[in-house]
Amino acid sequence: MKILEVVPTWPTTTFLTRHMIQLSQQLPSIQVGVTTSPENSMLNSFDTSKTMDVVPLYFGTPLRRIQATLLGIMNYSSKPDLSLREKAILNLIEKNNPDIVHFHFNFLFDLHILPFKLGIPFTVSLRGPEIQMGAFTDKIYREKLCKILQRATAIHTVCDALGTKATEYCQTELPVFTVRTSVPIPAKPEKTVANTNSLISVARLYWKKGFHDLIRAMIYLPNVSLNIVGDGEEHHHLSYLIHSLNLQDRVHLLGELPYEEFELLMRRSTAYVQASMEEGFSNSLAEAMALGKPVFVTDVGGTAELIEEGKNGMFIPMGDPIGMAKKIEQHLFDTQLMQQLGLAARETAEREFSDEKHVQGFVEFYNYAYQNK
Amino acid sequence: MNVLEIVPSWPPSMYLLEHIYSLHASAINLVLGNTNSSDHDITTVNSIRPSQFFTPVYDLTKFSWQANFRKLDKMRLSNVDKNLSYIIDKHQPDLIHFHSSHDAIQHHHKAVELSIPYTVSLNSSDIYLEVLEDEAYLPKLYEMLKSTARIHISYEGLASDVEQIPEVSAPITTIRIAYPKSDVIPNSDNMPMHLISAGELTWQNGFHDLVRAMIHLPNMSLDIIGTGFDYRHLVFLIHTYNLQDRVQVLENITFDSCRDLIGKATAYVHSGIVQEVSEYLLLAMSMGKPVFVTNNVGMDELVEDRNNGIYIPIGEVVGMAKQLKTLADVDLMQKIGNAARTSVEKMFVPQTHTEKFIQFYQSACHDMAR
Repeated sequence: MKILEVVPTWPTTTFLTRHMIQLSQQLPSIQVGVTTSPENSMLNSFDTSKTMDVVPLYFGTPLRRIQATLLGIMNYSSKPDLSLREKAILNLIEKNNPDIVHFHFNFLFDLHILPFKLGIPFTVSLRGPEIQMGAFTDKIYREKLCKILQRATAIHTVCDALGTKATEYCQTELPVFTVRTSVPIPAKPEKTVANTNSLISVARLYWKKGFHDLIRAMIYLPNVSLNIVGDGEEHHHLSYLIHSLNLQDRVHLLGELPYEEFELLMRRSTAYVQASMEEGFSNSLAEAMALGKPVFVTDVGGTAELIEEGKNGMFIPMGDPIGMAKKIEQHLFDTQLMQQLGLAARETAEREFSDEKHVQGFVEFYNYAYQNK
Repeated sequence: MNVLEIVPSWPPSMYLLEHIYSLHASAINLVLGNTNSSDHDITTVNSIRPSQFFTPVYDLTKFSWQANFRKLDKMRLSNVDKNLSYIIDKHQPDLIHFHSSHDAIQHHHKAVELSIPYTVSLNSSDIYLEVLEDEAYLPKLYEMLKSTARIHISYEGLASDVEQIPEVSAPITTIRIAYPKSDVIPNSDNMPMHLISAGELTWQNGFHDLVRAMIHLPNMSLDIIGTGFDYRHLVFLIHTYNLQDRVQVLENITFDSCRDLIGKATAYVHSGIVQEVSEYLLLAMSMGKPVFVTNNVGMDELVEDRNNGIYIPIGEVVGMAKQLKTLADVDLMQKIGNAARTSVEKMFVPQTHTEKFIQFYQSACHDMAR
């Protein structure tokens, strides 16, 4: 079974690189097609040292393996009526003759038309944004997305909630497979001494992540500090809030951090907070759980599929800073409870976010697509 | 007196258009330099404000000079200073005024080099927000302000913060914006409780707080007029809280339609987190509409709580909703609407604005001559 996975850039995101490395061990014939234009692509001068920054040291497989499977970008000069991306993907298909073509992001979904017209089965991944906001603010987009999902041989989602949403929008049963993203699970979780009453939250600084609510909640938590890891378009808003609410001694915007620093910071924090207004299932939440951190999360998207109130995490009310603060204050200082929640979160992570489970899920997913092509 | 005014974009904001028009009609020979690459589109200007001008817009533009500094910069034709030098050579201004601190930071060196005095307008964004975007901004701002002849601000509230800037000795002058009179559209009896708010859909305007406040106001409806990055955020909130029957975001509304919609609303809401007094707020007040406002920079100079407006807390959804319930008090709203109109008519008189600006320019030239 030859699978062509299409990603928009290379080096790609950390979690996708991890996915490809793990999967390539199980399915050696997996190929990666990158659709960036040659001027922007790093394929021609593939820089391993740069990739090492993106992919931290927890990968057991040498990066050469992925490098060896990269197909590169083909000749653009022929087929003048096609876009650059279409030419790239068409060339990759013609040269490598894959059994399945998989599209990892919704902005690549338009390319499905090529394998579809050529009679090659294609599959797609739904991670959240493509099926959430876009779908209900833009009717044309929603109709187009439903058409693509109905044409797909199989659909991968990172949580059950996205599959339910896709079925609801398309008003038909869809071949949906939930395969959770895998995260690094340290073999021996170190007993790093956590700072007292220190919260951490990690995500792109985007309104959907609800950081403005979390920062406002901090007004009511005078003995607690908060580190926010990530960057994005909301930076000015959040920075303004921190200063105008006089929280600069306790709330810090740290920007993006290398994985090692992020992990250390996470270990030193008392608990992880996710104030999101909309989610699939957050990778950072999974990473926090893998590190044995107690988590305070909003009940959005697929979060409740794995978090059970009071067992392996706590729910905080979405969009309600006072409610958030009350809940955190009520439980954060209960050391015994925090420890219990952290241990249970770690167990959940071991069970749900392992590489083995991820690879097994994807192999089953592709097998289904192959058998039903 | 020849004054070269550098405006950040064309068409400029409504209050700048009003300023330009009022000064253009005065004795000052005003030359405009535009630093934005946008095309000069008279139809757009007309759609923004057609009837407020006594003179057709093309009269204004015919006598103005435009230069696309940034466009030239992008095209790498030369540096921006060359273009500015050309305008200065051609018009021989006695004074250069920068309406944006960004342009002043970038171009004031040319004025210094030619010993031409320059002045600058500062707003709250220059003082409180720009530094959040660029850490190097403040030192550059301070450097530029050291040699400015005079500083213009629109609200007294900014003065104390500007005064704290080290090594700045230039006099600070408060000149309120010019705002023309509008037709009064009073609320009718038994009018449904309908709120309206307008502005760019950005976090600074706090519309996300206002939409959330609507959860607690089941008998009220709300129209938000504007476009911007926060559109999806607001639509998300409206759907998530099931408010789509009562709350809508209206994009691409012309100024005339905006005025009509404000006229049909029971009250105007200004929920800004950091936004100064907006032109839409002034429009609503000048039409005799009661207003609910957050207490941002300059607001306390315009609005006295429960006299000509009602304050709502910044970023506090429940507190905001509690105050908005006052809308049910028809007599109070009537009183506030009338007082609001009187305030705007007294405070934002175009003639006063023109006189004060001419005096501002003359003083700047006079100071430098001495």
